[in-house]
Amino acid sequence: MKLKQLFKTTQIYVFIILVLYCVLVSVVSPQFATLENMFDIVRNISVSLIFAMGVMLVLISDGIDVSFAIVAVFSAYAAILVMKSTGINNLLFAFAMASAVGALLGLFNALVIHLFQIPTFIATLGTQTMFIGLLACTLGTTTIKTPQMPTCLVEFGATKILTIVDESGKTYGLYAYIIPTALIVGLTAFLLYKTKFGRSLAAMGNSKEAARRAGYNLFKTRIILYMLVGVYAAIAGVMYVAQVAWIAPLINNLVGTIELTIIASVVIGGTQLTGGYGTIIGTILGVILMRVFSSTLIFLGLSSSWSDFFLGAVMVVCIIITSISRNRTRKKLLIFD
Amino acid sequence: MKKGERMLSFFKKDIKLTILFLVFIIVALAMLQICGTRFYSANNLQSIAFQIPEFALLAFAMMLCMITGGIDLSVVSISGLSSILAAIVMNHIMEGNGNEAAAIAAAVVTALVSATLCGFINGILISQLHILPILVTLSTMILYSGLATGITGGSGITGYPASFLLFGKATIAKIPVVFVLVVVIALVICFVLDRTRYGKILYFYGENSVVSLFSAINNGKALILTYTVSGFLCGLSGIIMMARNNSAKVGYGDTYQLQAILVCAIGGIDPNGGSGRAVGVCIAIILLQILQSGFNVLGYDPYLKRLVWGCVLIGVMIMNCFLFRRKKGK
Repeated sequence: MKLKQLFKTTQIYVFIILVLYCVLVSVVSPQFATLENMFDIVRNISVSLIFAMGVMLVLISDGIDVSFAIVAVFSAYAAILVMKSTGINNLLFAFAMASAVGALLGLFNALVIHLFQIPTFIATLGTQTMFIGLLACTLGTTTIKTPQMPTCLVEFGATKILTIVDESGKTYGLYAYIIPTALIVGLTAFLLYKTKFGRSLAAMGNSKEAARRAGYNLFKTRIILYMLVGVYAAIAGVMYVAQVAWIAPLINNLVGTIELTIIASVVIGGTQLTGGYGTIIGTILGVILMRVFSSTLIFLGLSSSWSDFFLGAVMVVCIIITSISRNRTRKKLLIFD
Repeated sequence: MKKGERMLSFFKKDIKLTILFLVFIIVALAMLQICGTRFYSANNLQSIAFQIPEFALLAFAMMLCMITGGIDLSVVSISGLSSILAAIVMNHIMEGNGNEAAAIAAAVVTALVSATLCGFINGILISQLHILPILVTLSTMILYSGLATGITGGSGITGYPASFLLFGKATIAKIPVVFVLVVVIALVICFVLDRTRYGKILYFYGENSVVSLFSAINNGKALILTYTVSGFLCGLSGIIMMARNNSAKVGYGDTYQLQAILVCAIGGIDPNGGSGRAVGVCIAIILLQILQSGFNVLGYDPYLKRLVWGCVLIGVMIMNCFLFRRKKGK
């Protein structure tokens, strides 16, 4: 029975596809299944994974957030400007400062969504556009190059917590990004599964009215949720800046491009867009799948530009598979909408 | 009923549209006051008319889906994919026998057929498998643009016959041909939505899909038709973009995606479906273009426009919320 239920979820299919694909790639190319490549994948998914955790929480509560990328850039840029002007060169301060700005922007999202009952997609679309304008009009859009960056960030971006030297003398290692990422994944798992807040998210995603009558304070839940997502985005933003070691707000690969891709990878991981259901494992699988597709097609002799096509195909297959079992239930229970 | 009262009740009936129209007049007059002839010059108006068509078609495509309570995130991907396929076909025929007319005809047919097919696939998935529109179009958005990226490898396809480029530049009495085309399409859409059976079904479905099912309306057929038409409009927009940019590339018009949703919401289309009129969207499109061009003329920071635009969207939604609450209170 438990196995049968497992096969009703998307994660298991994503897992099967991921394993089959990895086996295929490692057979074709021995370069894939090396520790170095694994470390590289871990490094590359760190930032996406933090974004994905936030997006997952929002999706579980039956919302969609498209403003997280600009929140990330906004707070990271604000933190760097403050650090440059005050001369504070401390990594923790960078994270704290960015988190504060992120939380503030998240609070604004929450207030707009809750007080005026605007559909979350439209509301965050509006705040995204607003934040872009606000960033450009208040902080400016000057590029900060690597030499002018606070050194602690650049150092953090290059720190390895584990260094390995292979036979040919090449060194590679596990970057320190994994620490904040692991902490945030752990925190999200704890919040989602073990706290009243996590349960209220799922309840809200299933039915707002039922959650309200069960005694959950939806206003409080929303405020905590969107502030948390803002903080996550801010941390991811600082990590992204540390990774690339320069920042040009609005001329980067974050705002306007990654929002829907991250949402897609979370959805592939089995989180319901209608709210109420989502798992940490599924989200991690979805993010890994997206990264593996975009970085390893080249091993199969295909240009990496086909990665989105395969990702889209997997997504279409997944939503069709899950829809079939749901449609059977619909027919049985005579649900028409 | 006196004439004045009748006018008043007309405005009260569609208060959103009235407010939008007033805002439009105020902005247009403000532009006259601030920029004067710099803004209302023949050249500037013509360049606005050139910029509107490609975006307007995408916004109409989005509008049809939003009236049914859905959303179409794949509009830009469809127009990108169809223009790339069309460019490949056109260049292939041009290399083959060099017949310009045949090449252009084949390219236009390719673009429209492929775009319509993409929309049809969306419609099938949404109506027959009962998957959420946002989920379907999010997946197909990645699929279609992924296909386009895969085919081209991310680079642009250029080198079209001169007579095709002329289509993007031609004017009739100083009015761009593409603009005339879009105005005709806008009129057709207004007519279909307001006066035909299909239009009524669309609003009805958006209002309550279960009720429409039990009113002997073929929900599936209506949905498939809607998303197919949406695809067709995207294909048309793809052709225009291709002719105006002299190139077909993945990523052209990426910013239009969210802008289209923005314009629909400002134009009074209820994101939950069932209400909103095409006229509102037309006004919102022109309003957007006027603001955009006005900011350019005045030399403001282009990002200030984003701030204003975001505030307008949130403002409109807040206004809707209060109007709705009052209605509910009654």
